[in-house]
Amino acid sequence: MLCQNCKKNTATIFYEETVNGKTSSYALCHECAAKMRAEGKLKDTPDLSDTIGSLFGNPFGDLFGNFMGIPEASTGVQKTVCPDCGCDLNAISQTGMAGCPTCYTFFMESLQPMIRNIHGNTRHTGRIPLRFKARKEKKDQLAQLKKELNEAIKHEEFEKAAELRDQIRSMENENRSESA
Amino acid sequence: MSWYNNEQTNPDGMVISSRVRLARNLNHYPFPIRLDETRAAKLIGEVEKVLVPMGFQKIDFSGISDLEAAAYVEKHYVSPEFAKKDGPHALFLNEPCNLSVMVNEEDHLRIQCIEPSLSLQEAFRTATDLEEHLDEALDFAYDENLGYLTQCPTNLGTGMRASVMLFLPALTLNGYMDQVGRELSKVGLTVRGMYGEGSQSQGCIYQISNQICMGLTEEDILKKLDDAVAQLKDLEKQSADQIRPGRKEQLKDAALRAVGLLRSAWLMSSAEFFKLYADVHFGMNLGFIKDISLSKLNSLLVQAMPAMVTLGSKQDVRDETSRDRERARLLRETLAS
Ligand SMILES: [Zn+2]
Ligand SMILES: [Zn+2]
Repeated sequence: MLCQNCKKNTATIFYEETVNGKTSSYALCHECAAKMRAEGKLKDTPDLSDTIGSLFGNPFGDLFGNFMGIPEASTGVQKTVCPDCGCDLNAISQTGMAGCPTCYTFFMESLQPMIRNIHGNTRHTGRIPLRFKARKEKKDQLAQLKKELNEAIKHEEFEKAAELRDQIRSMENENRSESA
Repeated sequence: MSWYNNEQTNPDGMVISSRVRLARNLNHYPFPIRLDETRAAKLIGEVEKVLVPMGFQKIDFSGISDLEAAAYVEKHYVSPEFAKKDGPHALFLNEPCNLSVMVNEEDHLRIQCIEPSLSLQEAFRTATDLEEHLDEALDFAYDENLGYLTQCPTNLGTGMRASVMLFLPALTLNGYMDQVGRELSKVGLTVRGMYGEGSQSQGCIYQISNQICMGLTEEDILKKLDDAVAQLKDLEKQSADQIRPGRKEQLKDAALRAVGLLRSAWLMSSAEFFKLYADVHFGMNLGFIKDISLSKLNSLLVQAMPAMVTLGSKQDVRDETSRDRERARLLRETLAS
C-alpha cells in the first residue's frame, strides 16, 4: 500500500483518529508521518514539545540574530590596508575572512562589533600558547611580589621589604630588555 | 585500530563518535585565502618537521586521486572542502588514526582527534597533547584578548570545535529534530548532518557541535556539549517510550525486514543502506534484534560509503551498478549470521 500523502513511498504507519464522532484513517510513510507530526497534523504520539523547550536553558538569548554585521568602511577616506597582507576592510567584509593574523590587531576597532555579534563577547578565556603562558606567569608573579612588599612595609619589616624591592626591580628590568 | 573499526569499544546506542578539532595559525604567513603556493608548501614543510619524527604519515592531497581524497572524507579525517581544495594542502595522520592534522584547510592547521562513542574529554586531552608539541616548534598566532587568531572570525578564541555524532531515530521519526535544533542553537550548539556544514542528515544521524568558541574555556564548551548529549539521550528514550504498541510492531517488522535485506540483497545503493541502517539500529535499541554487533553495523557507516567501497573492491567498480553490487557483498559478509 502506498502512502496516501506522497503516493510514492510504501505506507508503514497506519493510524485511526476519531474527531467529533467521525473516524478517519491514515496510511503514511515514515517521512510524511514525521513531517505531519512536526506540523501538528498527526497526533499519534503524545506531544514532547514542551519537554524539549524546557530542557535546555537559555543563557545566550537571541544572540545569533544578525550574524555577519561587519560595518562597511564608512568614513570616506579609509583606504588603509593591513601592512602584512595588503588586505583592506572591504575585502574582509566581502569574504567574511581576515587576510592574516595582523589584520585583527590592525583593524581591531572596526572588527570588534562583528566579533561581539558572533561570540557574544570579545574576551578569550581559554588555553594560551606556551610563550604567552611564561609571560602571564611572570606578570602574576610580579603582582604577588608587590603585594608582599606592601605587607612587609605595613608590618615595618624593612629588611624583607628591601629584598623584595630588589627582586621586583630586577624582574622589571628583565621584562624591559625582553620587550625592547 | 580506527574509530570506526574498533571491536574493543563498548558501543553506545546513540553516540557513534566524538571529535575535538583545534584551529591554529602561524604568524608571518597570510591565512590560506591569501596564501601563495610557495608559502603554502613551505608551511607544510614546517609542520612536517614536527609530525613526521613523531610517527605521523604525510598524505599530500595535491598528489592523490579524487577517489582517495573522498575516502578520507568518508572516514571523517578531512572535511569535504579540504578534499576539493586546490593548491598545496596535506594531511598528517598518526598510526591508530585517531589524530590528524589538516594543513592549509580554512586555517593553517586543523588538529583533530576522533574517538568512538562518547569520549569528548579523552579526545580533548589527546588533541591538546599534540597541540602542545606543535606549539613548542611553531609560532602560533595569538592575541591576549581575542585568543587564537583564525581566518574566519567565527573560530576566534579557543579555536575549538567539539562535536558528537548521534543516532536519534525516535526524535527524527516523531518529527522533533527541527525543534531540537532550535533549542540547541539557543545554548550555542548547532545540529548538522553527518559530514558537517551544509550536509544533509541521513540514517537519523546528526552532528552536534559548539557554535561559540570565545569567552568560554575549553572545559566549559565540552561540559555544555556533554550536558546536551545527556539531555538528548534522555529525550530520545522518552520519545521511544511513547511510541504506541501498534507502531512498535511496525518498527519491529521494518527492522527485521531490513536485516533480511542487508544480509541477502544483491544490489544496494547508499541511500537504501542508510535507511536500512536506521531501521536495524533502531530495532536494536528497542530490543528487537540481538544477533548483530553494533560496532560492526556502525563500521559500515564508513566502510559502505561510495569511495570506500570502490577502493576496497578488487574489481573495477566505476559504474553505479557494480558499486551497488560490491556494497551489497560487503554488507552480506559483514553482517552474516
Ligand atoms: Zn509519504
Ligand atoms: Zn593582514
